[in-house]
Amino acid sequence: MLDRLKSIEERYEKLNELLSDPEVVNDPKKLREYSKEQSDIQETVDVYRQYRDASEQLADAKAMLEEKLDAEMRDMVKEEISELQKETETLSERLKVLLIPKDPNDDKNVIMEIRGAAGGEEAALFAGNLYRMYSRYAELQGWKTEVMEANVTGTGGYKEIIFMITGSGAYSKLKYENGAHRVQRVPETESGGRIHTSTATVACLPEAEEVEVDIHEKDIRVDTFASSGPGGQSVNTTMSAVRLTHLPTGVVVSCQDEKSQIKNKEKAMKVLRARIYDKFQQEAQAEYDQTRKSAVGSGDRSERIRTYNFPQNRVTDHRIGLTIQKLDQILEGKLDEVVEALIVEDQASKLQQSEG
Amino acid sequence: MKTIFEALKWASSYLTEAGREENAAELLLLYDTGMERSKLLASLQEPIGEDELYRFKRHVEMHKEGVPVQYIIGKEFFYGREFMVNDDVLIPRPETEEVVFHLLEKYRSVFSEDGKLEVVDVGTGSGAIAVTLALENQSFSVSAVDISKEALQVASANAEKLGANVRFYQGDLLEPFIKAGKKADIIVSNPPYISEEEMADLSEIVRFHEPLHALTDGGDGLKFYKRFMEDIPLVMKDKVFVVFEIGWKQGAAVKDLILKAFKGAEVEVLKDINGKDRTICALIHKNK
Repeated sequence: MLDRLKSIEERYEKLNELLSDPEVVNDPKKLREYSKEQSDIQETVDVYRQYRDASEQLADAKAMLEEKLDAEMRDMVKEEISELQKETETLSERLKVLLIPKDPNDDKNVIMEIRGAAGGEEAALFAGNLYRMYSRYAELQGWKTEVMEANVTGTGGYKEIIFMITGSGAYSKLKYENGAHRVQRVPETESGGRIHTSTATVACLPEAEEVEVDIHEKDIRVDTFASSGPGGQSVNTTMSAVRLTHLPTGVVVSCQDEKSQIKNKEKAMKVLRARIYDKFQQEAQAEYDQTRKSAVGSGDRSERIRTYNFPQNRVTDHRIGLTIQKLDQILEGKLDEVVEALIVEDQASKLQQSEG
Repeated sequence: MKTIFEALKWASSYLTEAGREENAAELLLLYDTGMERSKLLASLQEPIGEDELYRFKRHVEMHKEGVPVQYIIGKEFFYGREFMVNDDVLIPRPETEEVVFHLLEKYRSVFSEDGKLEVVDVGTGSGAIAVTLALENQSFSVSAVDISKEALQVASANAEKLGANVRFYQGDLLEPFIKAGKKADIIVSNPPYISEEEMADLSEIVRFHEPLHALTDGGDGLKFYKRFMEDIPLVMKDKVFVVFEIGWKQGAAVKDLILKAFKGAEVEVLKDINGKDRTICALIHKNK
């Protein structure tokens, strides 16, 4: 571990040099690239330096014990040693976590898809609760939510709702939401007061860069709402929806935002790219999973990951056995406690894998 | 107490039955609640305020009677930006975004030299084309002309709100340029191109509410293109790049007009997202 940290520190120093090199300073692309690389390892280097200082102090203190000391002094040094030992251990644990390879998608924006699954209208209403939860969570994080497609049911739930969340670190926090979410409650329409169980599925896809997925214009069929008739000045339409079909994969994406057709097309392209990227990733993941399995990994989409129990005001995440008695608050977007627990668990399991 | 969803559901079916578009209700409700769409869709089960519901019902009624949604809410999006509109101007159409898109793509192959290009948008209306071009391309020096003083007020308000640097002139087609002896590198226009005959088929929303002089020339729909053929030589330098929006069946006719007026012009007819003739681009060189 120390060798790796040493080389990271060397790289950090090198980046310092590069970032003051006039050639780099005048090249915005390189400047951005190097600045990002440096800020990505900043914390690791800071903690490593603290660790190194503490280790040196610890060695010095131990050396002092070899010398002739009066009893009072000896006690003081012993106390110092025990404190420094604790400190180096804490720092070393932090370093292990910092050295876990970062998910390259963590900084990306996400496309989320929620679908009412088993349970008819109840499932659709629950899909609506989940959409509200994520959009409130996004709001609290200072992220932006834009709905691309919403298929509303007769009682105001969602058969399907697809939206994009834009903001720093969105994927790193939302990626654990992939899977089946289960609700237990008495539906408003249920006269006998029986508790029903329904499910909705959530998919969270990282936005894909153009370089990651190459889509050819000729492979796409474009449909709009107003495809017949003269169009142009003759028609005043408020339907700027665009539907794209990627012919080779059969992936279909629609976007109906209110902000102009040309922007809807651009956004639909983003979703299309993300879906195709996800398709490839899922295929690669399936292969990878045969050898290793991550406890809370964003793997199996049908896995039941969480239960929302209304009568008991309880949310249970089955992957980590976490139960929180604050369902009302969680549905209002206060997801932090759950997300943090999932991140910790994910890191612990990755740590185990890298050590094992 | 009604929920937002109940209000929306009522308005959607009420308007759909009256032959209006389904999502008109959502646009009106967004306006009356002052919510973003993502927020509205997260609040379907919430109650709607009494005042909001009252206003919403009134606006739904107005739209049912034929007033375009965009005039009620006072805005329309174009190229991702919000433009103010009122009944002095044609409501920007999505197809016109494509006209702008083609211009921005194609002008590069025409002008390889650096430096500012003089662009004029003729019959600017809400200013959608002129303002978008000014904001999308820093090397454009954009002017806009309209015969209607009221339209120019809307257009210049949009330019100001969106921070676009556009000079506005009142006048008939290129007349202000001709009088001032100004020249243009790029001429763009979305002139009224609906023929008198076709006007009868239009929805009442368009026919009885949008400015007639922005829709039809009262004749065959080609009148303004013909007039452009006479005016263009008076404002062009050695060459000029002309981009027109055209009606769905006018590709051949307008191409013909240009080729007859300008020998050796390079003309291209482009179809819109729905496969209809929509944009015509022409590179015209001065006759030697």
